[in-house]
Amino acid sequence: MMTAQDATPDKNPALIAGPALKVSNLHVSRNGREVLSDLSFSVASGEVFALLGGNGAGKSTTLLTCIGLLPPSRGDVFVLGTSPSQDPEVVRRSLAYLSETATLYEHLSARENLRYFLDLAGNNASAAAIDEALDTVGLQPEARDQRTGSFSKGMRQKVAIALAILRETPVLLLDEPTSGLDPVAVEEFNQLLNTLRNRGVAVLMVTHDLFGACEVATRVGLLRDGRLVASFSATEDRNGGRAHIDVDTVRRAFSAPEAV
Amino acid sequence: MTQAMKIAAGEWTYVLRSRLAVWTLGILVALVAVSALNSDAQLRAEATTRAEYQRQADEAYRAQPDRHPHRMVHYGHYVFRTPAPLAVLDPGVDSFTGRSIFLEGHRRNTATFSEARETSVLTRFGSVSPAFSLQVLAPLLLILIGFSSVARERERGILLQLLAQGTSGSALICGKAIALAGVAALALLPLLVSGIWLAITHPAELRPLAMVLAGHAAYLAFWVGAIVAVSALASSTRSALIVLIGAWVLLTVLVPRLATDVAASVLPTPNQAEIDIRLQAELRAVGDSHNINDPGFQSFQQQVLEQYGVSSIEELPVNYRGLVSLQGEAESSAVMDRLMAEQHALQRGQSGVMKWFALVSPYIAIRHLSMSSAGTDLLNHQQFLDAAEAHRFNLIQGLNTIHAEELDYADDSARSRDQDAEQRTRVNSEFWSHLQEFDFTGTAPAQRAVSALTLLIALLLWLTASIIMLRSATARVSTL
Repeated sequence: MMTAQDATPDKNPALIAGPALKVSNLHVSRNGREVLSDLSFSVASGEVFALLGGNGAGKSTTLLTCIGLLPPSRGDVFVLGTSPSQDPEVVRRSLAYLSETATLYEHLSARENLRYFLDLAGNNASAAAIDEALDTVGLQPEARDQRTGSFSKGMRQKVAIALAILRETPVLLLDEPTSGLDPVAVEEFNQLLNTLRNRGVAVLMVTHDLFGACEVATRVGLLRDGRLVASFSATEDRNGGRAHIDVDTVRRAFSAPEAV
Repeated sequence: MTQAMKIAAGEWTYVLRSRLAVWTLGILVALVAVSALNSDAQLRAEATTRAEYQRQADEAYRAQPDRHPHRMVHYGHYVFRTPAPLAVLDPGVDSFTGRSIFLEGHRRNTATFSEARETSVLTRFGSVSPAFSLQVLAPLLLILIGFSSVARERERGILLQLLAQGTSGSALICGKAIALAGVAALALLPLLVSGIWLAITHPAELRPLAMVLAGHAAYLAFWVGAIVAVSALASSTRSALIVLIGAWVLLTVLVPRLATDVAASVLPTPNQAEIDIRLQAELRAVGDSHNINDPGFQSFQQQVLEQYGVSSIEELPVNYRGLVSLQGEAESSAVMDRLMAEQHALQRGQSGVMKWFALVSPYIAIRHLSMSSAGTDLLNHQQFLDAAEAHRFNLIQGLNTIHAEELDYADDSARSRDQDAEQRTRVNSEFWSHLQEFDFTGTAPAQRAVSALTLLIALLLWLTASIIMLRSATARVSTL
């Protein structure tokens, strides 16, 4: 088992070879205020990078800039080497985005939602593939043809993740994915994330849930006032167990007034 | 299938699964279809009734016994206007102006028996026509179906989800507009079916019919674009609904009202009492043609005597009383025609002022285009009044000519005191059978289509404006 001391801050994340997602010296302003300031990090394939920060730290702004819905004032973002400011369509087809509320069409069933979003994304997944993805996320068969208007947040989250699985995108962006989920649903979600990571998906997750981030992420970055003030990587357990990040180390850094 | 068509199909699924939208769609299509069927049935019934009344009026006139011709001048005659074939789509001003006129000597009567005057308070503005359904009610129902098309997706976060997975803003806006245009097309379907039927039964009406269809298609397309654009630009579904309802009230209720007031203040028309007083004053100056010694006809008498080279009216080869009737009718008709021409010119001027408001409200553009193409506008009503007046003048002057040529002056002068003279002044009823039939056709179909062209251009400008709004909406949804 790793100890807190084993978690080491990255000195220069941008130097990681072949990142699926690379954020480079990013500055973003909204309503005349600089929300992101010289932000740099990268996420490799098979890595889950959790960006941890308080309210207004710039977490959601980071995701929206990665999608290309907010233009950077300086710096840039690269998804598989392509900048969203140059070719947003290509970038958006390379990534899947899960919002905090896991938005679905309430007048459509789970299957219909998946079919519709996949159609729009140009993906012709078969009915069997859709069922397999719903099996993977654990959505009960009897719920699959029900309209999602009556779904709990956890059920909607499962459908949204099934969509991400079916789209087979190399990059996954998650905005507060476990917010409002019960502990069982959180555990199921973490297992799903591990599944995706094992499939080589690069995951960028923004959250203010310190424990959840340390539980599931392979790296955690601390975002404060739009700057990445620290990041921590999980290393292999000396006893061969699963790597994780020590919560106390991150918590101390999170509470410290200055960067670690 | 393109992204836009997929989004359109998705929106249709939403419409068909939303109870409110389904009801609204059903009401919209039913309203236009029922109004078209009702309008058709009503016009058929009216046409039959009018034809019957015209036949009865003609028969009654021709069946008159031997009479003094001036008795026939006052007996009078009814003429009825046959509705234009496209009145089934848009009855226009006909519902308010009436379609029958009583023709008699010395008077130019106006049209009577309008639908609005003859029906109950509930239907005093005329029944709901396909044109009214499409021009006033269809935009409102389209607003109810489409106001949330983009705004609800933004509110629920689906817009972000769609954009994040590569759906383009233009495909989204285009898809929503295509879906709502499909709803509008359904509303147009009854008009199209009626149009095809009318094109088969009245091939000459093809061009104005095409103009009516093109005009309504452009008008509804404007609303479709505006509704989707406002839905995309508004911050919430609530504000989208408020803005769109406000626009509907402004464009279909307030601006037309304002246009009427502006037209009336720019070109004020005298009221009926003022017209009547002026008419009576001018007619008094003409003189009373029943009295051959009226001072108004002294110079006429002199002219006649000189023309025939005789020294007294008794020596004339024709009946002087008949000549006075002819002259009196000619002079009084000239006065009435002049006053009516002034009135008509003012009304056309007002209509012209109102047509400029087509640049302020697309409703005014489609309303005038539709009436003008259908031949149910003010111009065609005035033409009907003028045609009826020409028919009246010929009828009365025909009787006055009989009076002048067939009756002896001495008998005519003595008929009130001499029974035999009275009998001799009765003209054989054979003369009444020469009554000419009234046949009014109005502006030629091709000319109607051409005259509506400027209004179609105004509608296309409105459509362009809504496309520009859609482009702005596309930019708005493409970024946060």
